[in-house]
Amino acid sequence: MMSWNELDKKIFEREARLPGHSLCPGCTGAIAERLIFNTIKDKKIIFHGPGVCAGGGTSLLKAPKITEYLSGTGMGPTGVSRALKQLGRNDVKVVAMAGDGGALDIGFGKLSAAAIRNENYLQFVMDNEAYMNTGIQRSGQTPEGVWTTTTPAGNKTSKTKNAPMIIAYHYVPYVATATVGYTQDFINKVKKAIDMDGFRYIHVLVPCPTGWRFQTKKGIELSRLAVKSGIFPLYEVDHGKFKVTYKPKELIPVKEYVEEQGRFRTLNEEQLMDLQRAADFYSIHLNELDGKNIY
Amino acid sequence: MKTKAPTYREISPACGMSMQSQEVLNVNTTGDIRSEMPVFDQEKCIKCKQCILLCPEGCIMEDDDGKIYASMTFCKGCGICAYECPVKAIEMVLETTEK
Amino acid sequence: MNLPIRKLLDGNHAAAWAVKLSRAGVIPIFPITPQTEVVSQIADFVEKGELKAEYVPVESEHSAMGVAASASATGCRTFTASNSQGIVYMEEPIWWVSGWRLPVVMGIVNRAIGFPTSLGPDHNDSLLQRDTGWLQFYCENAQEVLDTIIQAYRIGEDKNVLLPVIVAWEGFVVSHAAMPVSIPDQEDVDKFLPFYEHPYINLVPDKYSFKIKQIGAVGEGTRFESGTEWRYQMELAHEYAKKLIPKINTEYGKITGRLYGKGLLEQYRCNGAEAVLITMGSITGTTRVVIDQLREEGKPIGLVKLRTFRPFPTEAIREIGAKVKAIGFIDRAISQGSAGGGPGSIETSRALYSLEKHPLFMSFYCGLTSREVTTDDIRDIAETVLKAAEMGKIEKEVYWTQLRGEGL
Repeated sequence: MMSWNELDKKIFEREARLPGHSLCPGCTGAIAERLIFNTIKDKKIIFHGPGVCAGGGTSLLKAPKITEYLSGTGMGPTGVSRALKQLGRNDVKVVAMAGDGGALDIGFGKLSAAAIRNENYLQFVMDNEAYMNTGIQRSGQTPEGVWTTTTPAGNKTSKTKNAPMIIAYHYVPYVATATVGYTQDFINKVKKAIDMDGFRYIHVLVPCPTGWRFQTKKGIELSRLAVKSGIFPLYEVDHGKFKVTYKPKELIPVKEYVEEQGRFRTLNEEQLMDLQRAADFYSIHLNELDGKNIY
Repeated sequence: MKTKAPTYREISPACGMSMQSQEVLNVNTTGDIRSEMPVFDQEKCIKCKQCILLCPEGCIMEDDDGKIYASMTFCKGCGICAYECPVKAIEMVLETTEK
Repeated sequence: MNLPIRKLLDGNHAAAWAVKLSRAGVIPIFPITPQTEVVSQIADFVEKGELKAEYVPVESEHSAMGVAASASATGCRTFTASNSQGIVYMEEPIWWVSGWRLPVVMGIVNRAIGFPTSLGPDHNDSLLQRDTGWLQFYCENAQEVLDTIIQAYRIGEDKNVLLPVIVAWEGFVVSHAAMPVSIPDQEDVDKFLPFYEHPYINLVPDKYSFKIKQIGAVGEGTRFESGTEWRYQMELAHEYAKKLIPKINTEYGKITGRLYGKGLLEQYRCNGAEAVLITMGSITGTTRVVIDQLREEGKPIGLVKLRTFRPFPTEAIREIGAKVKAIGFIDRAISQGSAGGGPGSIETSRALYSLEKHPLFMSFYCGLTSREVTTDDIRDIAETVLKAAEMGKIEKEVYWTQLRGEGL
């Protein structure tokens, strides 16, 4: 049994979410959690879980936490923020973090209802594109052609929905996309969102080395490839004003993103061309919207 | 030494969520599972602190002299710090039984 | 002390008045027939400023209970209401609220669970929650609805109980039938119901602190280690509630002048009775009329009104069972394929089992899927029970009283 040395004690002081959690080595979700919680360290928050990968890390957060069952998105934070309003405590902020399964599959109706009622909290959706914690099963966010344990011959069932824009068209104050490879962009968006009122939504891409099948050291690089190939563009919608926050000078081919990941081994040529066409189309579309009001 | 499990009189009916007073955070000594460990070359290091920002555990610290260290209690040996270092000042070496 | 005001109210409006008097803070409800007037009256009170609360127009019952759970944990008194299809939809969070020991109060306006669909009453939707740990009260008329909701907050929030409470009343028969209801004074209710503060749980981070404990193996604690102890604590809370409910009944009686039996159940004309009928809910009112008629004719019959189904008043039922010859339980809920009768019959016969000399016991299915219960039906039931008491034996264990056609 080791005991804490001086270095460990300094780490416990500095970090808003302690090390010693049970997420995989190289988990980019753990990096995202650190970036978020260290940015909002000085605020009083109540955290609604579960967090990345069904809560492997957030159990070590230094703040009061509450989590219910899987579809608790939308309703748990609503109750907390309404009770705080009734008690007259507008100095306490509510932060919610859910996975793509909990927020966009089983809890999508509840998330949509909370958005349209403009409930006052900040919702993070940590998108690793499958139900990772229960053993890499396909979710609504899994791209076409991908290997998962429930689609071993490649995902034929669906393309993925554009969740950030769907939530934007609930006319909420703030929607953004972010990822761990662009840390300053991520931190700026969190700082902007935490101080606003109303329903704020940040969609975070967190590449998973265990489920996407790549080396643990390449997590950050993969998130950069996702942005640079146009698969996951970085933008924000601030009270209806659209802004692309990172413009790559030239898009790299989607093939370079796909080659790094073992889960795309079941991708065929036609599906690859579909992905390339979608990425190209979407980045032209976003550049047209840039700087304009979408509502 | 195995601690005795608590009886029904000792459990507070609030352990499903944080209590208003002390919460117990269970910290695992995750350093036990690693196969590779980072070695820091303090001469090459340019103090950009990307490794501190990007570590998934948060176990890299800068001490008062400006040297960068990783806590071996928690480091899982993922290799992100070494891969992202702009000047390649961190090297991942296999854990050996000799410490 | 001000004189109480009297208004002509039906069950749903009485419930909304009770929520207003109890000063509930966060009220998430989804409308479903026949509970819709509860929602609209509460929304009316909040809009006019008579009740300072957050009314949350949730989009489903599942969300309603989820919002109630987290709002109660943050430190606000909550209320919600549902029935039938809505209750079955919110089954998941119902277990969380009782497991987390949060004193939420829910009104159930009993309605039959489909299929076969019906808008009228039967008790299946509230009796379905008997395993969850929620306490349950059954109300006979609108006045009782108002009084019971106010008492429910006091009972649930007691620091030795800390369990959520269901207050059930039947759809249309009680919820839409108006009677003159005496509304207690707000000051009296404020003295009766102190400010809500949970003794153990408060999420607001003013005094948050933490202690770091080192554990060795990664992945420890996937089972909730103290599950049995947790359930035992909840059982002790039910036992305590059995003693608390009569005390609260007496205290409330001193303020308003209304008593509901001894708290857990009420005995009506049971002195010297050889046969006794046990009822829950509005059937009690119909049965009182029949018992009066039969007593005029000199028949030795009495009525027991079961006010709480959880905690089940085992000791009180045993006392009655030791004195009478035959008991007939009127089930307004079905438990398909059971050992004999609905949930109420099964619980009562278990309570009577440890008596040395058992009374004769019969179950009567009556009023299922909103079929109307008339005095003629009750009269048939009463005469069957009296005959069994006289002859000293029963002909059948389970009677389907309103069945059309010859039963097998």
